[in-house]
Amino acid sequence: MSKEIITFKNVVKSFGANLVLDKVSFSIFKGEITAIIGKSGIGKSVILKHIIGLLSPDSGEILFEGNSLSNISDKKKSLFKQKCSYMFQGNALFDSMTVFDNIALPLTETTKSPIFEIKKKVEDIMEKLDLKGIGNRYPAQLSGGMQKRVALARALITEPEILLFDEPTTGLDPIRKKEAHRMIFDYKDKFGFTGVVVSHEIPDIFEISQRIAMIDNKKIIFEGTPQEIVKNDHPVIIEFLSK
Amino acid sequence: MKHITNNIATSPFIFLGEKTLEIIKKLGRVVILFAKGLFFGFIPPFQFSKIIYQIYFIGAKSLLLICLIGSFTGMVLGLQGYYTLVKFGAEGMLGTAVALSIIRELGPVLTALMITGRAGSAIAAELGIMRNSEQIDALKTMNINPIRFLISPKIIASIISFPLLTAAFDVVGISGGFITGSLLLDIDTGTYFSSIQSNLAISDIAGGFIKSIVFAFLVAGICCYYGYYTHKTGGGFGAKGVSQSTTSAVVTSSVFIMAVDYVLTSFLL
Repeated sequence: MSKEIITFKNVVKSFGANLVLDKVSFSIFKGEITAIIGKSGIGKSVILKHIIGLLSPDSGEILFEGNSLSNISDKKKSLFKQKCSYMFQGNALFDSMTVFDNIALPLTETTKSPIFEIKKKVEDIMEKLDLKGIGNRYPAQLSGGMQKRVALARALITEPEILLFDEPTTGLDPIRKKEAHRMIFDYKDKFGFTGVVVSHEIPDIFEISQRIAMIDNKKIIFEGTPQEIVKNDHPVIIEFLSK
Repeated sequence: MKHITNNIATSPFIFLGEKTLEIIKKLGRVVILFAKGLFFGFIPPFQFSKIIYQIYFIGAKSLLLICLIGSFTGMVLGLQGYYTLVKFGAEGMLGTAVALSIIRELGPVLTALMITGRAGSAIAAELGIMRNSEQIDALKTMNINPIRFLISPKIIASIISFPLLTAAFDVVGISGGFITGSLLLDIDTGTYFSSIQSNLAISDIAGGFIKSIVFAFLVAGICCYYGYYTHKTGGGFGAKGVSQSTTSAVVTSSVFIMAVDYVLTSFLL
């Protein structure tokens, strides 16, 4: 059994009068890929943003290796963030920077690595993600699928321990979708990171995930393995999986 | 009935109080953002390349505009000053009148207004778009301090660029006054420049530069604030939000430049 790395304990979050998360509790296990599934606009991305610290819970707490993220010092928070990477749903690429600079940014700004080393790392990851030869282009000059891969490259460049993917395959063609899933799975094996993937790609996402958490009506209604969810008889789950 | 009358009587004061508190809060946020931006700018590793790029963008790229405005302002002052002074037989003082007006007042104020229109609006729009497209959030997830990365270079570059552009405006403006006063009208070149030399004190020049530095604080702080907090300034989302924050940045900066100019002038006189 893997060790719990991130734990949500009764997390409540509202935006004004709109309650999005109501006492959400679930765990993410070290070295596993956890897929968060559910209908659109139900709060899946909100969960990811809580993990990375872009949002704070109104009540409840989020634990990292047993320690509450709301009670740790800024220095420890910064150390935790260094272990994480986040891939945004809309990519969030820097539109006034070239592809190369976008991918290199986390290294140039947060490490003291020499330029030639950064260049080598960026070139390596660009080759692996089939992005060779577009380093001098700007994000607006790329297709949606290519932008997605650039965002993926930027998320992977720091070799993080925890990778958060917000719908990583939206906008990709079926072949690239499979490749992206395969790549997440392979990198997970290679680097041993913990992955959290918000996805609508059912059943494809079950192939690369060890654990599934399903959110509905502001709460986690299922937490378990892909094998368990397909056998579950909860009406919402049956309806969701059948569509 | 009495209750309703009380409400009617107090509601304007409640509205006024709420608006005042809102303005004070906004000012507080501008000051905090500016202070953080300035502070992070001096924490190593220094961001030389970003600061130099911002000096190029805010300063060098505004130079032509400043020179154009400066020359026409000086020329107009030369013409207007001549026709006023000649009535008193004091046209020999034209150089002093043009130089003092430009160095003490028009140089710093018009330079700040021009930079607000050209660079301040661009700063607010750039930051607003970055906010809307989650680029600022992306920086946070990468453990990069967005204030240090985006705002510090702009603030430091503004503090360097404003006085330099003001100096350029002053020189070009005085030259403009010379063109109309001496070359087109009848004032002797020596008289024009010697009157400037004998009547201009170092305190006049220092006062102009103090103003330009204060205006740099104001413009950089206000424009960065409206851009960085586009999502909180009540202008809506998307393109509309960015357009609203850009407009607010320019209007607020311009009003503050004029208001603070009055306060500073009253202290510096």
